[in-house]
Amino acid sequence: MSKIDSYRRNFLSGLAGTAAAVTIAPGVFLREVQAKPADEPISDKVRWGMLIDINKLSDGGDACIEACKKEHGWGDEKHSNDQQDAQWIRKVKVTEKMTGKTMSLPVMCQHCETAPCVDVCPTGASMKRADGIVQVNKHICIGCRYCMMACPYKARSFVHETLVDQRPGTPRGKGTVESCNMCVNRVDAGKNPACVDAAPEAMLFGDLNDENSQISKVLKQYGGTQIRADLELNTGVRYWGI
Amino acid sequence: MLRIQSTFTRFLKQSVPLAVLLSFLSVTLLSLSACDSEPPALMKASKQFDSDEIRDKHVAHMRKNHMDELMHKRDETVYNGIRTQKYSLNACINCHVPEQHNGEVLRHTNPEHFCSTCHGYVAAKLDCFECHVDHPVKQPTTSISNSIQNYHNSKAHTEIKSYIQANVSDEIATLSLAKNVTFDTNEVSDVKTDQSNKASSKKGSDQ
Amino acid sequence: MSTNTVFSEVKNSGLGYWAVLGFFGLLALAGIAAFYYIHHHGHYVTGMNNQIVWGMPHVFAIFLIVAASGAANVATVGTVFGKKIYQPLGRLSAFLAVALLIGGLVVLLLDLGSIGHVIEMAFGYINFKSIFAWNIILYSGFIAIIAVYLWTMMDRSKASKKLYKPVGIINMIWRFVLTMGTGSIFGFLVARQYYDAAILAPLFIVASYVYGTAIYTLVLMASFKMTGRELGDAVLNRLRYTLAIFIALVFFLELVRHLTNLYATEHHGVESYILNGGPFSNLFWYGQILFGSLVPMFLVWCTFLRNNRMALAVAAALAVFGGLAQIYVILIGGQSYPLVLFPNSETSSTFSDGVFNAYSATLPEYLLGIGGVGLAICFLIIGMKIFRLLPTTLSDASVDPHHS
Repeated sequence: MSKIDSYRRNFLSGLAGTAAAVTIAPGVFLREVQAKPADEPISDKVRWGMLIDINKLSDGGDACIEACKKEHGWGDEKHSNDQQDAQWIRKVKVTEKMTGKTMSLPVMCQHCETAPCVDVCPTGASMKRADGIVQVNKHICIGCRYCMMACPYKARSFVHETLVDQRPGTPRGKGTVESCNMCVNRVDAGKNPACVDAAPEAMLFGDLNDENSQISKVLKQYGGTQIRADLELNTGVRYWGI
Repeated sequence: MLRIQSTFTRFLKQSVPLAVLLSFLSVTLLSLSACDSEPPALMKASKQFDSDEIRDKHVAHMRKNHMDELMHKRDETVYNGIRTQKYSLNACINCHVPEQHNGEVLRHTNPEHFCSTCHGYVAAKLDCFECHVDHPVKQPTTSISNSIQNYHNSKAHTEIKSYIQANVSDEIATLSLAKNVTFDTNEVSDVKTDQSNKASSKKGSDQ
Repeated sequence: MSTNTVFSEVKNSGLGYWAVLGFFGLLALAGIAAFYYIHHHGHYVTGMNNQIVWGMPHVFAIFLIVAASGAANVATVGTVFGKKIYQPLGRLSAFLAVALLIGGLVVLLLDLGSIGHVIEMAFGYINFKSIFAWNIILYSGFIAIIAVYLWTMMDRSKASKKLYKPVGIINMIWRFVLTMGTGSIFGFLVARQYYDAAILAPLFIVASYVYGTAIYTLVLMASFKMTGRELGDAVLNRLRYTLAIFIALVFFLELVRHLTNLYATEHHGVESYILNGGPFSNLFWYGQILFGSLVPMFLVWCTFLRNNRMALAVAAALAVFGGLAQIYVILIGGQSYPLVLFPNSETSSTFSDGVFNAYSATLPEYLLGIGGVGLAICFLIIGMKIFRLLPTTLSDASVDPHHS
């Protein structure tokens, strides 16, 4: 622990001292530590992605789901019924009809490259950031739920009631649609998404555009399956073991 | 001639109620402007500026422009992922709203809430808190060091490490592993903001 | 336009007029009350949820919007195809279309989760890849075109007479695109088993003629009866056979759609769910097919019932009912069937994966939807009082001089 802290301190002081260097060459130095300077806009040179090895998820993703709830504060709606409660990520149990083979996997927004939810949204509230993260801009979401109709992964929820005490990093409110946003607040701060930190043995987060990133390397070597690959949405979330 | 006259009388007839309405409106507006226009007293911020001069500048700027600054910052954050403290709604709340007030959480539904005091006074709808939290909250975060520790112990890490060592040059391997040493960008941004503040005093005075 | 037709506003504004207006006004008010209730509490007070995201209000809204396009068809036949007998019917047709459209749009608007953000949308960005965004333009354009169209029908100037036909043609094309746009809301949903089919666009176009003609017939009969005007069989028979032919066309397109689906193994699941044994089967077979299509066709074409006005009124009412059933089955039934994340597999989760989603509308949803109908009719009745929409007579002799 102390070793990491001292590393971190050295790293930070180095960064502060060479602030000029950072601004001149942001990509080169910071890419590998997954952070951009806080006051610089995100760039489309990056495409964030996630790899989930479901064979290593001993709990089928329960820990990820708990971490997500804790991070974003969904799942304790007072009035909504079970069908109306928001769920950003869920554990899906799949049983193949003929063979009876079963598996469990966490399913959330797959962060499609060509996202149907973005196409159908009349106001542009359903949006894809330059770095590939798909999210809802709740400021301009009118709550028409067309994106929920369009999403092939059933990844979106509608907030059916007034909320209080939201997480500061995750504004959520009545009458808007929401979904997994790959923890943009954490990613922008150079952290991993909460679910990845909750199951580091099975999940990997990184830049799909950077061929030297871990995720790109393992995906190049072993591939990664998309759910409903037939729709050719080129998802940012890939799986092993499905 | 007759036609013109009739048009004229018709116009007069129509304009009488209009004139009555206009005079009524102007009287109302005049009486409004004659009202005591002193804004209501606001709750004191938890952090105070070093000098009154900076504070007065901040107050003058924000009283007039807070909605534009927040709106601009909102788009910068949502679209560009810029999450610096300056003009961040959370930063405003953290300083202007106490964690507890009279032993309770101070919500925007309470007229004593910093934002609600004025918004109630001028009857302007306060939309932010439909989604944003209206009081300071300490975000429960998963311990970074713990997760790194887990990661280093994990099988996946060992596998990836060995894969990288087998396939990629040492230099990249070390860099890749350094990736997991995440850090708090807020600290970085604070350091950076300090420096830029020194560089441009104009920018800094708004803070 | 036949020059000898005389139009007049509703003059006998006795108790009857105000009673009808009051009744539909109350429906509209109930709708507004329902809106406030839902808006105040949030959508948890409705039966809609994260699976059935569009519910009863949308059934009414889509029905009204589609019907609006069809209601204007009566005017189109008179203008574009030069059928003289339809021309006296044009004004009411165009006005009814606007009334229905506004009723439907208001329902759609009032069901939004964050209606306050619509204002921002008006000044902000509109995503033109969205069918919804297209529809906003198509709907507002439709209202503008109808306004000009009404002017060409009601003004006596030379300019308006000259524009009558061109505007009629533009109106027809615009309606064509508009209804296609409404159908495409579903047609472009790639992942839903029951939607994702281009045939939904033409299906909606033909269905619009059915709903529109049915509502128009009912409105014409009621308004003529209540204002004591003469309505001859010649006009009614035109509407009667138009209605039946379009019902037959919808029937045919539905047949094609389901047969196509039944051929593809991928769609067997959803087809057997809708057609055979699921909660929507009764509504489909009895509501849409038997009472919504076959019975009305029988009532129109049965020789015993020729010139029988009661039979026509019942047929039109049943066609409206069948239309609502059709939209309900498409909209709710389509959402009720689970998304297929993993083909050939059974899925389950805490988020209703792999289950047939149940839906039962709550009272506020019904009220909101019916409120839209109330608003549309209110608008129409007030319009009849202000404008000269109705011909003083549609007797057989007046519409067809060669009538024997």
